[in-house]
Amino acid sequence: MSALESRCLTVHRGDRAVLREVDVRVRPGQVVAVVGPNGAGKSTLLGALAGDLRPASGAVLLDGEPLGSLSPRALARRRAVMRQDATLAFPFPVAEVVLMGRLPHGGRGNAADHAAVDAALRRAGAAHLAARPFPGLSGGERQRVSLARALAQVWGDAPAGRYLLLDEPTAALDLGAAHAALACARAFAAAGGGVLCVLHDLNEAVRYADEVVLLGGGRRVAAGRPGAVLRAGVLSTVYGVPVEILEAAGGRFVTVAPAGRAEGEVER
Amino acid sequence: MWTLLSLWVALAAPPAEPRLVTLGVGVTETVFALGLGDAVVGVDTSSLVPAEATKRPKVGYVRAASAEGILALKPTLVLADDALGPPPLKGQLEAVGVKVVVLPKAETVEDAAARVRAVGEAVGRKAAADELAVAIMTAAAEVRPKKPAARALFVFVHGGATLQVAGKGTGAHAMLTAAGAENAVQGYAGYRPLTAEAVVLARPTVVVTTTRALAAAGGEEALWRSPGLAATPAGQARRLVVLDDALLLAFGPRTGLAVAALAEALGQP
Amino acid sequence: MTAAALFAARRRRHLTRLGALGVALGLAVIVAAGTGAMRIAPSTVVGALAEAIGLSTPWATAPDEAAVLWAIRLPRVVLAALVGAALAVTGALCQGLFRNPLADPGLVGVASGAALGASAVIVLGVGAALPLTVALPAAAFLGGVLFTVLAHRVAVRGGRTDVATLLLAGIGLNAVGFAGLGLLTFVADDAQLRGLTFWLLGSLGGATWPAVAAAAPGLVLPVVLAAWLARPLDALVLGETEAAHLGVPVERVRRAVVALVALGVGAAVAVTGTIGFVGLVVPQGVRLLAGPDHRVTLPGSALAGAALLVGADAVARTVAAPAEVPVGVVTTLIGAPAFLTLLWGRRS
Repeated sequence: MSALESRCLTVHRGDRAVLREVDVRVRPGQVVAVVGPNGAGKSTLLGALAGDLRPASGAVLLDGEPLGSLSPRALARRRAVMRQDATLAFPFPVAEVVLMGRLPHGGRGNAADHAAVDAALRRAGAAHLAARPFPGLSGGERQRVSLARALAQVWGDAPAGRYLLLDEPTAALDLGAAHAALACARAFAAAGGGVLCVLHDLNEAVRYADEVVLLGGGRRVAAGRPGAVLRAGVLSTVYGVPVEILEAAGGRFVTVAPAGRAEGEVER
Repeated sequence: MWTLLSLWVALAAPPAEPRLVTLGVGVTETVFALGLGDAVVGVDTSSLVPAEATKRPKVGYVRAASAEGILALKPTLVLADDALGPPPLKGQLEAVGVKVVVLPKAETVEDAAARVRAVGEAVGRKAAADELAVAIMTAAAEVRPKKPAARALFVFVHGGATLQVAGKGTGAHAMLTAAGAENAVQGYAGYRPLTAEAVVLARPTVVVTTTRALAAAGGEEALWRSPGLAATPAGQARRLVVLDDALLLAFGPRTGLAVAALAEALGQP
Repeated sequence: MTAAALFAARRRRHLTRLGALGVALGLAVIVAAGTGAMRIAPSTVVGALAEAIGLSTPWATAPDEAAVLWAIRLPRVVLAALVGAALAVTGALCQGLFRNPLADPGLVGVASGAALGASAVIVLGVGAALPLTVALPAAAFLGGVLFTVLAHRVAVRGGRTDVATLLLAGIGLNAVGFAGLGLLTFVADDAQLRGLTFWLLGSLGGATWPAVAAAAPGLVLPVVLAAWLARPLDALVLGETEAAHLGVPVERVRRAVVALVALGVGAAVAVTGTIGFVGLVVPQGVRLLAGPDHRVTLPGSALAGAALLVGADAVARTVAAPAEVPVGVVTTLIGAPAFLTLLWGRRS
């Protein structure tokens, strides 16, 4: 079955289990958001799905095959990862950085690679940055370029059956850019790819995700459709603040309840 | 007889003028002493005597000489002491057909005489070299050591907190012994730094050094201020013997004179 | 501007810069072959070279001049080019691996290991059964490789090389190497001490065809094999995790770089002693000139490193002729101020 999934995944850092028995599944055509408070294990889960971290127990499977059985290059052709805070040791121009996404496909810089770079830059809203040196960019601009690099890696010809792992892709972006980035992830899913996306903003999860996985203390607290997972009670417990769900303009919005208005105020 | 001999020399000698490159202070001095100074077309940077030698083109230090620099002087013979380097140099010179003679190491009076003979043989001045070698041995043999022998501390380099002194197996040790003195440093071999306490324990009655080492130390007063030295019998009596580097440690034709000069200086109260 | 146009422009720029460096190397070789303590006319040099490849020229070559050219000067120019290329390329590889433009190929302990090996021969008489011209480079090479292997062993944890630990292990081993060198300096007699000092200063004076032939594989292989590492090192610029996400076998790249550095620097130090700053400054300069892409930094460093050392050696041979200045002093006199200028420029 086509999916990128973890099964009963436990990951240790040192002696401590930072992720316990977590099941997550991303199918082609889906955007899955991973949410939860700081230290819940979101980035660890993303790292394990990317193949960076070795599970202490359980497994990560790509279309039914354990990640460890795939060569780094075969894996890189089928999934791309965008992490936070990209830095560059040497001042490459943006287009070269994005071209690096073509590396698992040969990356010799032929016409197909150039077309993929152009498309990725355009989709990530970074076409105007192509000739700029990467180290001179702002945080938000870097994030767009990193997204473009990840897109170039898995959205060259056919994104179907390929996966995109995004760690807080909107962290440094303004409202418009954040929308553009998540819309881009949705478009990738619409073209047949699968997206797993760590998000801080629960409202982004509500708006753009097909499924939400809520982590707390290294465990999967809830998973399912955003409307089913993001409920005031469970969010209040997991985040440790009173949370309200507002309905307006045909959508649902998560917010922290103003002081004195919550019914069951949670102990701080 | 002489006519025959000179005829033989004329026939045996190479048709062109000999052109010599000499490396090492003792070797260069010997070649000049044998009357072949005019044939020397290049020397190394350690060849400081005679003064005439310093006017020749320099091909670098004997241990790091330049092959092409030597060849540019178009030598017919290269004479060097045992330190000749870098290691491949001899092979490089011989590969282009230049004759190279590396002379044996010389660190005693006997070595010096033997090396003078070897140089004489290499440049075809055997008779003159034999005479010179005999003169070296004779001058050294004429030394009449005083009793009791002076305990001499040979200070080689002075740098920082400790004195660099000559132990056994060094040229300086051989010269001290030949001059009838006793080396105050017996527990060491080679040139070694000696701590202030060890200097005191060595109880030298006289300090021997060279002109250049004394200059490097900053003069006589500075030398006596070296740690430990003032507390020795030599320090209290301010007994210091200074000889020219090239005279004392060249192991060339003047080594016999050097022994005599050192013995005389040590004998003076 | 489309990516295709941008890449085409960059490629043209890379090729013209590499071409310029190639021309610089060619000029350096011709000038270096034509200068030296022995006066040999340029026409003689050209004539001798042409004769060697079967061409006849109107220029007669005096036999003794040709002999000096072939036996002394040309092996030296060739060795300078190979050593310069190897040092600069291994420097570029190290800077790529450590993701730091200030990394030096000596960081992994290879230079101090080689120095210790050489001093063991000079002072302790290790390998005295062999001629010094064999024992000295062999011991230096083995010492360099041994120290690099040790540094790498320390840095491997669970089959994975930790680059930060590798750096620290290299620093530790360099300290051990220099302490050992200090100890041997103490044990050495005056003559050995002077021999050691001149070895440490670095010189191409020992260049003979057999020495060039013996060192050539160690010097040429890292330069050639580096080509396969250009793209992986580009990816590594993004970070080790990012490179792994791009399908780069990061651990294999790390090991390959360490092996090539041990081989290249070990062979270079073995035949010439320590020649400083080529590996540090040349890749820097090439990056400033042509950009950070390893597909241009690596070959560019090879050309520029070769040109620099050939030129520096020509200077070393001629400024004090018929004596010569140690070439390590010349490269350091050029390299150290360049390095400090670079650091100064990075303050902001």
